[in-house]
Amino acid sequence: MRIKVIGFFLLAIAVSIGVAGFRQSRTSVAVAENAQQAAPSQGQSQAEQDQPGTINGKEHPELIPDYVAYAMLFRVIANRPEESAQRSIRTYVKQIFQCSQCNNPPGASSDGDIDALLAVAEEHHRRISVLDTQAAKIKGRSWPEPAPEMLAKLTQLQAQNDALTADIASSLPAHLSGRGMENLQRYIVEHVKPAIKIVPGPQPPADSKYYQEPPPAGAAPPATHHHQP
Amino acid sequence: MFSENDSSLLSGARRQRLSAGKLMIFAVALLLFTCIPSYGQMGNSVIYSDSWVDSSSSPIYVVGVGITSDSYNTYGHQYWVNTTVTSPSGRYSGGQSWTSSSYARVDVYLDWGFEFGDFTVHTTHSMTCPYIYNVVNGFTGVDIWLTRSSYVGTGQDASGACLFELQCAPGTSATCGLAQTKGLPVGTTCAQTWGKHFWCLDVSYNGICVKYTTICVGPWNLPQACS
Repeated sequence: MRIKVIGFFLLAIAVSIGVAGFRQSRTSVAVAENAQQAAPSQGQSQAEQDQPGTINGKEHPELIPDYVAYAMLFRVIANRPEESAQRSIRTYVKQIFQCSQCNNPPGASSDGDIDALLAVAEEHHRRISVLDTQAAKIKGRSWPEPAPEMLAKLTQLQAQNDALTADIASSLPAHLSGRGMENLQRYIVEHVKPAIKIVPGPQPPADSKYYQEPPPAGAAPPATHHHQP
Repeated sequence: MFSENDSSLLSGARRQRLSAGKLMIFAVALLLFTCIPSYGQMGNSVIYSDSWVDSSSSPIYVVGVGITSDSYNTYGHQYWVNTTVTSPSGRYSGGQSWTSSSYARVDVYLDWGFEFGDFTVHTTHSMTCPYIYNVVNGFTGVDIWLTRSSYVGTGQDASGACLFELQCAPGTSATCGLAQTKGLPVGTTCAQTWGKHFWCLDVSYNGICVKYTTICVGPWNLPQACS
């Protein structure tokens, strides 16, 4: 019995290593495929090629998960406290439902859908903000060498974030009209996903364990400003 | 029946079975860990750009927004976004977000200026981290094509909504045109719109028409040029 278990354990390790290797090779293939797509896409200059491993929603919208697309949409339309920004966002949401002061037949998209989507996005913002705050606090702790338990906690928070967005997105049919939901789903596929790119995080060099001091003056992140009318 | 020695032998066997069980569970968990896709565990960031025509104010603005949203499980990364909106004639407006450890966003507004044609929103997403300093993470962009369609008031339907038909000036044609040509917010009564011409602003994103009313202007006695 014991020998069998040890055998299975060793087999499991071997398979795990194999799967990891396969994944690595798949990543390499993806990188190679990206490299072959050297010709920049429309509106993209030679100097603006995507990083290897980037998932470009314009070329592969099917690789953008729904919850990622809904998260971006919610981020765009929520948390606009100023009245002028709220009016502006309302014009944005109108284009999703393709209806502005029009007389709709029963069941059609209406201002009710606009209000409902904005309310759902605010709810998403309210609940995600709690996770954002927790993550920000952890990220600032034990810098620059995070403890493994910190990274585990951040991973857990990210999973909560993704699940929360998926949960809230799945509640939308209960809040929107049938036609409104159709318009929204079409908008997610035709408009939101093609504008998303999922970029892989930078890989630190294998021998770089410690924080590198940033270059001195002249290379600091540029000064910030926020342009609004 | 059993001596103390036998009993301890039995406990040892039980312990062996228990640790064998634990080993098995660990092995299965190891397999699952390596086989389950782990999107959120890869330290990806999501970059995004969007745009809209803000007709809620005067003047009307073309708005561009750039967003970087990092996954939580990265450490020491700082992000910022630059966004520009450029008109067909080359006017532009630009802005840069604050730096942030997980979420950066900047909205930029460009006065529409009654220009028709191709507006572009371009975003550059940058980051810095303990190992790589000031690196451009990626670029995104949206093409906004602004055109116009001309309509003539033709009457009223049973529900009381004003009805309109597409009617462009000779020699011109509409790129988009509204999907629903009734109830346009012009005039105070439908009678005032009958036989009168109006033009409405059309918006296309990356070549796809958004068929809803942005703004409509009128009335005129003659059909207006479409584009």
